[in-house]
Amino acid sequence: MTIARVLDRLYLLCGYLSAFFLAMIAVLTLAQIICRQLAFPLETSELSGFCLAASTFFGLSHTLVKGEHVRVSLFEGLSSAALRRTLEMWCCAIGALVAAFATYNVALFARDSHTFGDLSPGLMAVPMWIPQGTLVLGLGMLTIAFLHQLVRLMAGRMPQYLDKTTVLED
Amino acid sequence: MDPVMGASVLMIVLLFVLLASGVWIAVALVAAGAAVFFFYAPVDPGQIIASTIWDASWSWALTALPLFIWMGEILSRSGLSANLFGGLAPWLRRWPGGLLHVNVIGCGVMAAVAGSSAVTCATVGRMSIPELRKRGYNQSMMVGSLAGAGTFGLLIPPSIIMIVYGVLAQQSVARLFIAGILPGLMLIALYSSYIALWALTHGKEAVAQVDPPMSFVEKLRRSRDLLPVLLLIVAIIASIYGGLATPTEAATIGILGALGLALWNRSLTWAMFMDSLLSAARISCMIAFIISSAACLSVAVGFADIPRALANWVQGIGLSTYGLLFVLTILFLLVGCVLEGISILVLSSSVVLPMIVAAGIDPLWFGIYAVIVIECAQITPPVGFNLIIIKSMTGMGIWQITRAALPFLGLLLFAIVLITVFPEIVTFLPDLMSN
Repeated sequence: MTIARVLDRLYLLCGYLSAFFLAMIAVLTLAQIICRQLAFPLETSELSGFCLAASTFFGLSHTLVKGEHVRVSLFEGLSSAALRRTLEMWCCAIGALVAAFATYNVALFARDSHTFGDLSPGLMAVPMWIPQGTLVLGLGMLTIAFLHQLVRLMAGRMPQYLDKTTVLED
Repeated sequence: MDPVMGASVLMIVLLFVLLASGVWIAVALVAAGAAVFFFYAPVDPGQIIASTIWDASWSWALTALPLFIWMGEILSRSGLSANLFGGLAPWLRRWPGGLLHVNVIGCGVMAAVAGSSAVTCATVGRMSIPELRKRGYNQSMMVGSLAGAGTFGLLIPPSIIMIVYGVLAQQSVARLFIAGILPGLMLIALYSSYIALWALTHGKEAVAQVDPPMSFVEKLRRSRDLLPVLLLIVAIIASIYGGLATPTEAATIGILGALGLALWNRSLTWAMFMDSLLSAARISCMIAFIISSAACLSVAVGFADIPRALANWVQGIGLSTYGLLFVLTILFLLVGCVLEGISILVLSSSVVLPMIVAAGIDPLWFGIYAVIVIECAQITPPVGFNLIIIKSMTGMGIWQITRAALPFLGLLLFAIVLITVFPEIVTFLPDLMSN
């Protein structure tokens, strides 16, 4: 299996993880509603918050390659394909840079939580580095996805986030 | 240069260059935030951006967002959109203006389910335009009512854009939902009255083929897929209004209801379930990511003291509340040329919200106001998102569509004037709720 195939599988896996954590928000909220009816208090809103964070950040790379992150498309109708390619490379480079910056710093942040043994404020007292770790993984995959698109562009191929009808060759 | 000025210039130039060159909005927001920190704040940008991203990504109020999106994704795959026209048409057949009202009511229903006016406009238009054409409706009214109606529905709960505003402005999402009801209904009434008046005064142009009459039972049969959706939306609103459920809980019940509905009309399959879940995950990921990124810029802008300086400046030049609102309206209309509703709200929040609070404007009222203005921007020439969507569906020219949408844009602006002069239209229901 080529590296590209492995990456595509990874993005899809991240997409499924994102979907799983989204469904978990609903399951946890439902559990809370049912327990309240049975007069058995269960507080899951904090865990729901962690699931939301995990869902959002695991979804980043998958959403990127599906072309669903919003951007302004002033140059969509640009006639020069060469200029458009250069612009796309610039966008991916900035994306990779910002994502790498965020990954590195959130990783340091999560490491500090681990070192100081930070616990979540709720009754569950979850070690904070666990939910924070999902951000690191998701942002790391986003960095990889941006670099992957950049490499594709440099090799003269289309980035995965543009639809097939876009022409980047003259 | 004075540091506040310097930071403002840096932020504006960076945002402009990055956004205009096509960099993803969320990425541009983090980059601009980091740059402002790096040059103008005495703290390590990496550390504060990491903690800001984390704090903004697990807020409990935001958990309602993916759930309502998922509910909408299930409903729109369960045959709702296919039955929207068939289900509404028999009821509206005899109204003056006839099936043109399907655009208005259909968008009202669809928008409660879909997240954005662009999606609403496209979904309703895909069904109603061919049907209306077949019956010989006036082209300009058909397109105008669609362009206009695609926008106001975002006021009707459960509305994604309201959740986003609630999280950004730290306002209760439940109260925002309730605040949107009266303005939303008011706009439906305005639009439908305009269509009816037009039909009554334009005898010849308004003539269209009328569908044969139908018995009451037959009408009910036609809308059997639509009525449960309406009931579901009403139940959600009622449970939030009555304080029985938080928006997150109401959304969870909404998902169960949507799944039950899909099971009942046999559209629920494993593939459909996964498809709706993955699609919801992508949409909510996109929105939540720009919200976390906007938090970075917000904190940076706060550190650089820009909101306070701006608020002082506004006070200094003696801009009245109405003057401020006017300036903001122009600003939103301009940004609306290139951006979709939620992005406009998130992008402007870091600077605009502190100004609103400083000017003593009720943030709850401003939320409704901002949503209407931003939706105006989607049908304002020369470039509006909804105009482009209708252009691709009908093949009409952009100016032709703009002209057709103009009366409806006028009604939106009229509604803005109304809620400004009578803020009670917005605040009446939420005020009842707190007592």
